[in-house]
Amino acid sequence: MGPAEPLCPACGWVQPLRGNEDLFSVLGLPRTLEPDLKAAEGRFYELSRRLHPDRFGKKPEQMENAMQRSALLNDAWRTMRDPAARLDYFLGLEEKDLTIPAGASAGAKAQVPAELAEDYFEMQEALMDGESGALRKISDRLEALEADNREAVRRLSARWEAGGLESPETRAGNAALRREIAAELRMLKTTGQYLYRMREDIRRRTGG
Amino acid sequence: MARPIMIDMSAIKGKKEKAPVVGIDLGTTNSLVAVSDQGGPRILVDCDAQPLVPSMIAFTGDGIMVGDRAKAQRLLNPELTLFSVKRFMGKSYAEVKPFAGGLPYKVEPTDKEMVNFNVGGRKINPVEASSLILGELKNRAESVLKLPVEDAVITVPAYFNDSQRQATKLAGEIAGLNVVRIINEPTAAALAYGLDKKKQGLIAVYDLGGGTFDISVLNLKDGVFEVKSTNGDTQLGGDDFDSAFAAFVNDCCKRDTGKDLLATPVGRAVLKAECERVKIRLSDEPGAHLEVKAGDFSYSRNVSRSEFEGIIRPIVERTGQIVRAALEDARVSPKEIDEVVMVGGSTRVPLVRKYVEDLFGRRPHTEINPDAVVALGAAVQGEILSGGRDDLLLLDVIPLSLGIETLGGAMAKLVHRNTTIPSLAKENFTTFADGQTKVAINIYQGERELVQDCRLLGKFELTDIPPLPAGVPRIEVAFLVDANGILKVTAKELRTGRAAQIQVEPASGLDETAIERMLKDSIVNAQADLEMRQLLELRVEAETMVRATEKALAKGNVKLSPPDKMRIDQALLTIKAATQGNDRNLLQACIQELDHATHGLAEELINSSIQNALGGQEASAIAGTKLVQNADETGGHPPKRS
Repeated sequence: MGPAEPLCPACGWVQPLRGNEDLFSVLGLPRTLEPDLKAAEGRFYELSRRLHPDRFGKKPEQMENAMQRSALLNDAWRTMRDPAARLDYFLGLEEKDLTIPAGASAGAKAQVPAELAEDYFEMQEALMDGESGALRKISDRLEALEADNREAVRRLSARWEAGGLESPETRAGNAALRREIAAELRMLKTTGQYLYRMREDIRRRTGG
Repeated sequence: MARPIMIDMSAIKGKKEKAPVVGIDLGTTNSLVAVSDQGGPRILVDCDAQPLVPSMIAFTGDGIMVGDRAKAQRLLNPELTLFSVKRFMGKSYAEVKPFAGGLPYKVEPTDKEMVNFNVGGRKINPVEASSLILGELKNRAESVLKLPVEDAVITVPAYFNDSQRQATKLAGEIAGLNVVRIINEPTAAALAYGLDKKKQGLIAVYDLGGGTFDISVLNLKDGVFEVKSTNGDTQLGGDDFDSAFAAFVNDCCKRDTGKDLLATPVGRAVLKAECERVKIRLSDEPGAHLEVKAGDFSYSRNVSRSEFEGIIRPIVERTGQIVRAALEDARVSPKEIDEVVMVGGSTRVPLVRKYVEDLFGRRPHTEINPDAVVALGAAVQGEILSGGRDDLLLLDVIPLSLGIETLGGAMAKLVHRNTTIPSLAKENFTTFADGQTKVAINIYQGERELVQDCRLLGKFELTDIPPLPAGVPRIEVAFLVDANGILKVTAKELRTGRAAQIQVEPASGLDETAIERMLKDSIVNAQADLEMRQLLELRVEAETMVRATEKALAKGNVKLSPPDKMRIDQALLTIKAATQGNDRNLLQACIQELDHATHGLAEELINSSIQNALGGQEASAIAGTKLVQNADETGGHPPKRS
């Protein structure tokens, strides 16, 4: 059961937000880690054309709803097209559905993921020295780690799809698999955050 | 009653109408006004078919002059002629100090550390000065459209911050305009450029104007113009070419003659004008002759294009870094850009074109008029907003991040730069001390990590938070940015539902009393404007009557008694004299007298069954033909401010 249509099918009136809209369904997408972005873009443009407040200069009574709807639509598109933001949002939805308490993963957040630790401290050292050859080397290493992380997400995405979890009905009866995927995603997210931070450190260091 | 006047029916209908939303490009150097309707967008030109209104204002003994007339006398009264006012909009004195000293006119701090121009003892701030230019554009639009102009879309550089936008909006209001939207210049340009709906793909708009530089990356698809990213520098433009060039010429002059031209206001004005002229010439010629005359002193030398390019190259190169940042934010490489559109007069400089071509690896579009395209796009957006066309839609972004201050003076960004608007963002915060019952929500704009390097937009307090251990309360802060870029912030303690909110609006850098005074002035001036308009209308009415009467008399087939004939002749003489003057009451009386005098004539005409030459309509019906005269003759500039 998706959220109500943004426009009333009968009268065309912009509907107020219910407050429980999910960003996937706003763009007509199933809940998945790697959605069809081409389709999402098309839907984003189509809905923007109908919901943007600029369309309501002569219908001020619908302006507020249009603005709220439009803001949500923009948020959905911005989230979906950015892999990190999308992963984050996906994970949030899953943890909420599976009632995984936010605190459960908070401890893990504070630590450098074990498999990253060695690389991480090596990179910190190289950053301190700031020697350009070493910086280039860690930059290359970082790129490889980033690719690994993307690949890991892709594998989880494949498992999600193989399990038929895109459909709400299948999801309802597959809590165990979902918990497994959520736990792995949580780790990938943390790794991704560390990689991002290192990338930023290098950028700042090299002034790029 | 009977007025021998032919009445244009469209003028009667027009009486109740108002003009469509106009699009205004309020430029650093030149300004334009455009309108868009079924006929497409078009620039409104004056009687000399001149589209540009120089953004100059002069305050001389002859009153206030705006545009061409101000420009024409700028070398005679350099201290009394304001130009490049846009560079001061929404800025503090500290921000403008670095370049304010090199101008022929005086720039002073106000007691609030904002900017005032001191023009021969008269203090005027940048907002008021801009409002005079906007008033001139409004008058121009009204004289062309023959309808009152109320609504306007005004463009600003994409990289203008909140206070610069607010200052621009305020200037519009003071000029008597209802500013329905402030729109980014490169976005407007893209809209005008991409009107043809077959245009698809990624375009980059490189906008180098007189005082500002903007770069925007847009995705065009089926009439939707989605801004992907924008970046810029509000202190980088053709003015800087002129300044660098002037400094170079002055150095040569000092070396050759010992004379420092930049030491006096007249010298500065003359040198700037000549450098600007030579710069323009060098866009078409490999070399040009430069000659500066100030009093009995004169200095001349030849300048080659490559010499000029050497001087401006560092300035041009500053745009490259900004372009790369915008492309990175849009997550595209230069190669992926399908088309590059050049906007702004400074993109006529060959070095700029070459530089942009190298930057993107493709030849930029230069066939569009770089001066006109922004105003045209603003007019199109006006048409969209008024419901005039629904095949196009602009999805714009905020240029600078918005956030709140957190402990230690850090900037927590809630809405990041280049976020499509409207936008809603929420984030949870908490308390720092045990038992803390209120939090200060300080709202900032900027990209830096510490709020001290960002711009404060507003502040408010959330009170009555239940006294709980530090870190326990959950305070949800929500930022809602509407399609106008206006920010509304709400803060809510989630356990109690206690909420507070603020609509962040003013911050044009002007305090309330200053705004009040300016608005009051504008009302005073509105009265003067109204009187001036009535005079113009009466003049039109008088002239139309005179023409119609003379035409009727010339027909010679009406029999008039000699006294009637004499009375008409006398009335014609006095009304012609009154039309030359500024006395509304006299003119009104003359119109009445001619009306009475021609009563017999009108009856005669009816008798001669040529009623169709007689409109029995009310005098007011011809109001639709008002303001048709040459702007110079009618004093098309706004009247003097006290």
